[in-house]
Amino acid sequence: MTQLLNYTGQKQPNETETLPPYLPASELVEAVNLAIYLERPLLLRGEPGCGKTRLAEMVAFELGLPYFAWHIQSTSRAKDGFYTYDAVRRLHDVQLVAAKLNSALNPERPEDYLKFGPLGQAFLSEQRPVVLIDEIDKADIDFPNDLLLALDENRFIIDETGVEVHAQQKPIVFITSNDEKELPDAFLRRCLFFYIDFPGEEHLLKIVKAHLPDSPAELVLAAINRFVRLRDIMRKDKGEAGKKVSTSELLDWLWALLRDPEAMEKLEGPLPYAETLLKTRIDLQYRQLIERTQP
Amino acid sequence: MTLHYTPLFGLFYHLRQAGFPLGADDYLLALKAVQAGFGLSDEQALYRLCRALWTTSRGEENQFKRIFEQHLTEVRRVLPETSAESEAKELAGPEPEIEDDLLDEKDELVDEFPLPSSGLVGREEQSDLALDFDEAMQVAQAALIKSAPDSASSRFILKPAYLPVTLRQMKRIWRYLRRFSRTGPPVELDVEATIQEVSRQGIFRQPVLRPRRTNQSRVVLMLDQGGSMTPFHLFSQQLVYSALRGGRLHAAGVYYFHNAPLHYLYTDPARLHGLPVEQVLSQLAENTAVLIFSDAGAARRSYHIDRILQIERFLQVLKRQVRYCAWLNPMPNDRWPGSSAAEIARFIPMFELSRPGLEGAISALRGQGHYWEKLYAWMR
Repeated sequence: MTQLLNYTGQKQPNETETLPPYLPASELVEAVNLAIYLERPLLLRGEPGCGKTRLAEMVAFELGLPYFAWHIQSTSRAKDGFYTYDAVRRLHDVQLVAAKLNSALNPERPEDYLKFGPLGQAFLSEQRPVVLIDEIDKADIDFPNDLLLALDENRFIIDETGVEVHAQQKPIVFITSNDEKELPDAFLRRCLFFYIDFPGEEHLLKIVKAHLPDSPAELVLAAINRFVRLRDIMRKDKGEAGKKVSTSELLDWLWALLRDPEAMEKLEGPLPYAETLLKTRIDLQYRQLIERTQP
Repeated sequence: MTLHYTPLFGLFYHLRQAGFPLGADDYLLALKAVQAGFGLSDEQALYRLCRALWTTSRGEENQFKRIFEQHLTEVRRVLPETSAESEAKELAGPEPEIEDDLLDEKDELVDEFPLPSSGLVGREEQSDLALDFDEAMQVAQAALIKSAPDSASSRFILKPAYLPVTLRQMKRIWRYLRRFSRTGPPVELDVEATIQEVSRQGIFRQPVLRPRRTNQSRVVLMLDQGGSMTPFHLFSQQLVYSALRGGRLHAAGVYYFHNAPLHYLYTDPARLHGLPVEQVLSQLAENTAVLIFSDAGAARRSYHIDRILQIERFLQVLKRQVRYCAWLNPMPNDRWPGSSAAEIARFIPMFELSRPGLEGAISALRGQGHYWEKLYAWMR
């Protein structure tokens, strides 16, 4: 059963679908299939804007599987991903029934006050689900450890009802991290790790063509060229750890350029629409330097 | 392919020796993947497979790659004949392969054990440390001259393995520093008050809410910077980072000084923006915890009466202002006698930089802990 699932990264949404296209590198496709086969979560790291979050959705799309996304916040608790329990509403209903104000309610059934979170829903899915746990590093430092048991043994217990929920099908789990907090060792060991590299010039061109199929080739080439040089300068100056312009910013920038009939001429001069690419004060100070990248 | 021998075991074992936190599960997982046909197309594919399974951050990759390259012979034997021959040269660097080629010729497991160990630190200790690789790499990169050639930066990796307390442990220890009180908007259900309300009214109308308990501990860090403290800057940074980001502490202030806070405390590590000491101290609330991080002369075993008197005066003022303060010394406490540190340790609870030391410092900041005047045997 599990061997049959094979992600290729080739299938792209057609125009009637709202999903934008997604072109993964072949190494990433390989890692996805490995994670699916070994039934381990795939931990994705990489610069912001490199497509970490979108991968899970696209895997679900290609394989035709149900997709559940859980976007982590700093207040997220591991339990919230499985279920939340509305005790206050139950108490409220008990009062209404006792006062004979509403007889349709039955607060003796605790399961009526359960609401399943993304992971809980995924566990109930008949088909093998694809789960995204987005930006896991935003949560408390103990959060990943609290998830471990459930992900390892594919079950969780609803304390309020005492029911143990078993996953119908082992979920395919993708986890993204921006390295804001370091993750616990025990958790890292259970994940496969993949670092999404910044795409090369050729791959960038493919991505742009997929997103903006009708754009004039000449302009796209010139823009990518300028973009890659800007990125190189940023890398040289800030080192690997610094914030550099990303693929998603390139697409935003191209959107702006495509609407401008004089874009081609502007690309010869000072960086046009710099506000889509340079967003911090330091970056704006770079502008001077960047002007030197004029062709 | 046949699996009557133990493929990749030499590589796996070498990685373990080098401090990668790997267990038997991780090895078996790789075998399972290889048996299912993953990573067999060429050396690069096998490299990526092992990298996905056995590394957890990008910082580890340089070291992983170097070890992988030393085990190419073994790696090639896993690959099917045809691709092994044609792709063999791709990953091989100019470096000659090391002596474990000989070992690899034998299939018995036992022969693979005496592999060269590159780690000096015990394995148990290192498994925790591997976590902080990324930070270490960033620090290392910042320290290197920007134009340093790639070969140099990949050969030397500065790991926080030298630090006796890892960043994660630090965050955990900071958490003990807490004084809770309820402030802010009422968002949490007060069960007891709700029940009382229900019994008084005879009916449940709405839940009683109360503000959430939050940590009111304020901590101020004062860090000695430069000079004999230079080797410990990495630790200072991690101390600041863990207090600000991980410890859920309230409004932490960070100040820097050099040797002794004589007239000014600085708000930046480069000590450019100075504030008068009196001004900083007078603004500290009484319940603020102040942690000072300095070697107090112990690193160079210097004994300066001036420095001792300056610090004593500073501590007198400080202690009039705040109730809790502690001193963290990067040197082990048996190195203090004979230096200024031993004298200063009589004015303030001073702890060495180690896990128990940091824990001791935090409990001193909570107002608990040892009677510090006779904290150490050599004191009297």
